[in-house]
Amino acid sequence: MAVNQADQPGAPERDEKSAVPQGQHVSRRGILKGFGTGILTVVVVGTGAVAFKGSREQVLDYSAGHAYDPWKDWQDSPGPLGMVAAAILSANPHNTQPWIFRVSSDRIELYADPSRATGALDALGREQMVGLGAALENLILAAGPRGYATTVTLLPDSNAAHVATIGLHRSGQKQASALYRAIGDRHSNRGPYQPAPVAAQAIARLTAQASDLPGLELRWFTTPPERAALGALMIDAAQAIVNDQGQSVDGFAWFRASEAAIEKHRDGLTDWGQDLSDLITSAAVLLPASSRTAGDQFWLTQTKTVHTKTAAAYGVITVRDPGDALTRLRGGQLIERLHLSATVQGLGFQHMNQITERIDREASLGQPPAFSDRFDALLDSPGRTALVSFRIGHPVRPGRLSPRRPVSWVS
Amino acid sequence: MSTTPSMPSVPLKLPAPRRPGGVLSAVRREWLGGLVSLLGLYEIVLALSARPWIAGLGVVSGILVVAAPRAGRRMPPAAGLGLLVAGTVPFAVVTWWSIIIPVVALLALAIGVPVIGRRSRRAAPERRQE
Repeated sequence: MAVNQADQPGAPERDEKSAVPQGQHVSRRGILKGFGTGILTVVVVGTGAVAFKGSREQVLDYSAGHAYDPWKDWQDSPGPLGMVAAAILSANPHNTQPWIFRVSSDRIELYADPSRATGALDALGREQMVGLGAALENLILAAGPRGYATTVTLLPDSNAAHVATIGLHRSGQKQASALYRAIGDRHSNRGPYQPAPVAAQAIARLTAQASDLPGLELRWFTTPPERAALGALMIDAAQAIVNDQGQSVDGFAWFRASEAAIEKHRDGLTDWGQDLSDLITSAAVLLPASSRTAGDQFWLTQTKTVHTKTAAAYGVITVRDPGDALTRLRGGQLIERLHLSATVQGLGFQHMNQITERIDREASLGQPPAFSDRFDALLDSPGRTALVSFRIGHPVRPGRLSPRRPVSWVS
Repeated sequence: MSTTPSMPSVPLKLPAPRRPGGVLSAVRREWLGGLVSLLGLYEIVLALSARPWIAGLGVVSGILVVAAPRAGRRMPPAAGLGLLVAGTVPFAVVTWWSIIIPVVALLALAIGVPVIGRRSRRAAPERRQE
């Protein structure tokens, strides 16, 4: 006669939750249950690893870290250091922030930091000088609201790294311009732009920013054929940079792939700064960091499918001698004004300098000037050539913040 | 035939035998509920790096998820499940683009709903006796 052991006195109780009597053989149901619990445990623990990474990478608020603090308190700092707080938020190549400030009560000296160059990507130092000119523009804009008038001397001595001396004089009144107020909202926008064209009045307001800067002109590419031709050249230049290992490596050196790297360096390009959707960016930061070649391909794809495809217009600052340091500084002042003016008008703005990066690379290597000739042909401005270029349009979403080194690190 | 008088039967109430597998059994019983609570902790950890109002929502949501499996034993099933849903759905909706929060929420619901339902069914007679 079969005896149910569970009915016997002293027999182990059947665990309510378990299908397996204690100390007895394991039933098929018990095995399946244990297997399922094991899988769930592995899934939950794996999710924990991703959640930990998401927390470390601040997936819910990328701008919570100290690397973004300079964007939040730049208007609160008084005096010359407050001017520097505005200057460090300026546009600059690959967010290298290539500046050093020497600050006293009556002057600010602006120096280039040679350790923050982008190597083969800026073979002739053009972009670094333009970036310093942009910082200079913010310094000047930030003087008025702090009660200062300025006397600016560009390239004051034989020291090539000494870019400018900004003399400060008490003006007795505090005035803030619209461009100054836009400093904290100015961000490169690498995301898609809407198909709507940029109004002629908006372009006229941008063009007017060059009126007091001698030797600088703006060439606009607004019609579809013009945009297509310049866009194609930009894609070719991006492809050439990707194919050039020296440029690729020197560019990738400024990519910060993790929150830890961003907080450590507080410079460079980031996943969030690519201005992809929140969903795609979250996926990017949760996944393992991409390699240099993968990053190159991503940039090339973005150039083809977003940057050139959705540009409402391109602008090019043209000059007679792009190698002249003074011209580069003034060009930097103008590009910062343009970016701030675009910000005031609600326009997206992205610096797109792959063509000039290839032009300077070819020149430094003694290669035939393929990109120079093609760009000059598109510009169709005899005697003038490109200094820097950019695209504008109505952005689909706002540009995101870039990490910045605080004033205490650069002064 | 012997006529040995039989002893009167006295109902003996012996203490429940101490089961050697008691701890193991308890761990087994609590394991899935523990996983749900762990998912609630993930929500709290993720919320700490968010903007203040999202962080607040996330921390409260995480606490609800941590508490939901235990609450399911003491409260009616609907209340336990309500805690779980309140601790997962709003936070996941607000941060849908983050990927990880909706994944945590889906897992918490997938594991937590059956756990709380079963516990509530088991606890119902006990609640009635009380």
